[in-house]
Amino acid sequence: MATRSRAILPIFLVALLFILLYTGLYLNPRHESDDSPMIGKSAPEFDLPDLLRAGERFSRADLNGEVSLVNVWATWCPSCRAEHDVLMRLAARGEVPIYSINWKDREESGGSREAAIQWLDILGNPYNKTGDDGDNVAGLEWAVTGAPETFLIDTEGRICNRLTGPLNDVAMPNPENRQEVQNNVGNILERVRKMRESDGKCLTKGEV
Amino acid sequence: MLRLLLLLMLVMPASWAAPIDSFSFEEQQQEDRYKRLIEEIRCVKCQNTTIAGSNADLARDHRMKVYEMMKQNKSDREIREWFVVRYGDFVLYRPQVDSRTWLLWGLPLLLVPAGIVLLMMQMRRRRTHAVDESVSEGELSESEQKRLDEVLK
Repeated sequence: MATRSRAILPIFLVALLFILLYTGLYLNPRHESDDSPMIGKSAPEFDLPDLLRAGERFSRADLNGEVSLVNVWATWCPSCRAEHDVLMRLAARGEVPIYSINWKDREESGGSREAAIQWLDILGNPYNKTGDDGDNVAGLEWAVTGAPETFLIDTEGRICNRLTGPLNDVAMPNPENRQEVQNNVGNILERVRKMRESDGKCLTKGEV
Repeated sequence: MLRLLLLLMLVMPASWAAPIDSFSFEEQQQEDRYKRLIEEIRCVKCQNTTIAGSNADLARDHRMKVYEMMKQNKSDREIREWFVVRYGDFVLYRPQVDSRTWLLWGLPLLLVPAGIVLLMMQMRRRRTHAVDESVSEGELSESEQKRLDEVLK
């Protein structure tokens, strides 16, 4: 009996190792940045000059009191260009205010402030307000890892969702059901409506 | 000419190895500290390198942030915390020891002594086994001798 179990043990261990490695093959090695530690927390303090209106600011205080979206974009970012039409459609519905952070649009990154202004002028401006964050000051506070990125904010200024990448191919991930839905504008708006039904608070897992 | 070439060869690999930032430190100790810190913070853009080894725009901003925080006399712990709060535990190449990571850190401490004990047990068993064999190979016990004599008769 003893010798028999001793013979089985190595086989068992190798089988276990095999299962482990085999599962590892199909796991996504990339860290899922949609699961940011920022989610569920109050949006960070920031205060940026308004890109379009001289002398005005876009700051944390603008995000209190209503459900809103904060979109991070730059002119050097091709996915942002692809996403722009979706944002325009979303803005046309007039159901949710969209704010934006124009991120790192400077020469060293391949953009410029002028290019950003021109972008909104030519392609249309879906944003209620746009902050000029050329030096990545607000970006570091928001833990932006790339453009485009979109945050869903509740009435208390809390971050409900964070979406990395353009809104075109992925909808706002629903925490209860992380399904990717093609009809993203509708999905985002549905989520906004649901939030409004529950006092404009985040619909995230558990208490938040 | 040859000298110049040799000098160039001496200098160039260093400039290729890592992105260059022109940060100035008053003390060597501070510079060492900076280098150590940027070696343990992950580049969130490129994910498989540290911010020390990455040329990404964001990595440069992060190195700058580390430098700024050092200038503000922030401790290593505070600097790491700044990154963890924003990007999560994965931003550190050496995860902090807490309720979720103690097993990860503690397992080697458990496994190494366990391995040593196992090895010693194995060795002891082998030794006693070897002694048994030497006895049976060498002198025979009285009863064995008697049996042998009987067989050889």
